[in-house]
Amino acid sequence: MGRISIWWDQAADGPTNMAADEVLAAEARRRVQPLVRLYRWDSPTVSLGAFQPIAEARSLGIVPGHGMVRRPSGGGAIVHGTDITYAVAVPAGHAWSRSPEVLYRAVHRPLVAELVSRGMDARLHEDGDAPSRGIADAFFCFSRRSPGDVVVSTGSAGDPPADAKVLGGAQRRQSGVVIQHGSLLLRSNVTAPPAWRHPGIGDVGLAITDDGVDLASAWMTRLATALASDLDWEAGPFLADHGRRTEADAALVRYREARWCERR
Amino acid sequence: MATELRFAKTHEWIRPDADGLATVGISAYAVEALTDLVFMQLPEVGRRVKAGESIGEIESVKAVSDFYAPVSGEVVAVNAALPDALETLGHDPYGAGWIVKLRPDDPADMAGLLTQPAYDALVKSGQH
Repeated sequence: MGRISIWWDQAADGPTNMAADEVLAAEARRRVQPLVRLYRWDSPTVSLGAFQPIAEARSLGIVPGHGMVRRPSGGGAIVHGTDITYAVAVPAGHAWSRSPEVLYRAVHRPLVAELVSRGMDARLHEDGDAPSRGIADAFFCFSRRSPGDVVVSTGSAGDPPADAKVLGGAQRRQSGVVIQHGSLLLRSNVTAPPAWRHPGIGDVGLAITDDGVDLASAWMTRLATALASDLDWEAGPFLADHGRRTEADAALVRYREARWCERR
Repeated sequence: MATELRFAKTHEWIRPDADGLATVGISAYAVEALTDLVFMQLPEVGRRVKAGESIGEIESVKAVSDFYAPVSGEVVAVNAALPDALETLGHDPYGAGWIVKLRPDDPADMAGLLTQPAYDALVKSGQH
């Protein structure tokens, strides 16, 4: 039986979270097993996909150095603050690393099962991207639909569509490891400009605790079961380990640099 | 498939040219696995690279993937038209879809890479 190790990590700023995930990938390579980090952000932050143009971000009022960070993974921008973010690192050779679709489905399907068990009409999105209607729609992850996203029925018809995307993901595939980022949107972020807001799982009929911990814990338990693996909840912050902290410090410099944040 | 091609386990191919340079691209298998390419970043000409070092990135709809130098050397040319014509990677990955030209530090390093049958076996095994 395999193992999957999970950290419930403390909230941190954008560059620290990205650096920690880079170290998570290195740790997954060393341990040759899947690792998961669940975390929040210590202040409202927009994370951009690896190659989203900075000019588009600026046109929406997103400014480098002011609650903005660029992820190493692809995909659209995410407004963090009312979500639970995850990073899953999977070493090469593991069954989950075979293709982007395999990993999306492996991680997201257990959440669908948990939501359905709680009475939600939830499913994995199976079609291609939904058409975008404007720059904000194209820019934000939760305005897009890709295969493997988790969507739930809102019970209403018309335009916008009756489905709400509550979990999306993006990957970085490197030699020896794949890292997948994802965001489970708990509630709409009412502190963000209206064009940046999207309904969360708590806005479309699911009763959840303020922090969403019960839902995320149940999801992770189902994830381990699906992998037929023992689930290890790791104690303490991920970067409390001295070696990992040292590794992260080196990466942290890069994620804070304008050269990275404004690379495109 | 041209028999002079060699492959890295990370899915790059390399072909020795008559002028002492070597052309590098990514395999048809890798292109197909990436699906729906949207952006590509090439290395700078003149950059020195080590075998296994990331020399660029390709973004598809669902993932960003690094591509790597199969051997150590210097980047002497890039296919500058490719980022604006990413479909070329799918249509002709071993021809017009070339990505960079390297001047290998030691051309003999290419002999240590996978042959076409060995690469095909790797892909078939799923252990990559």
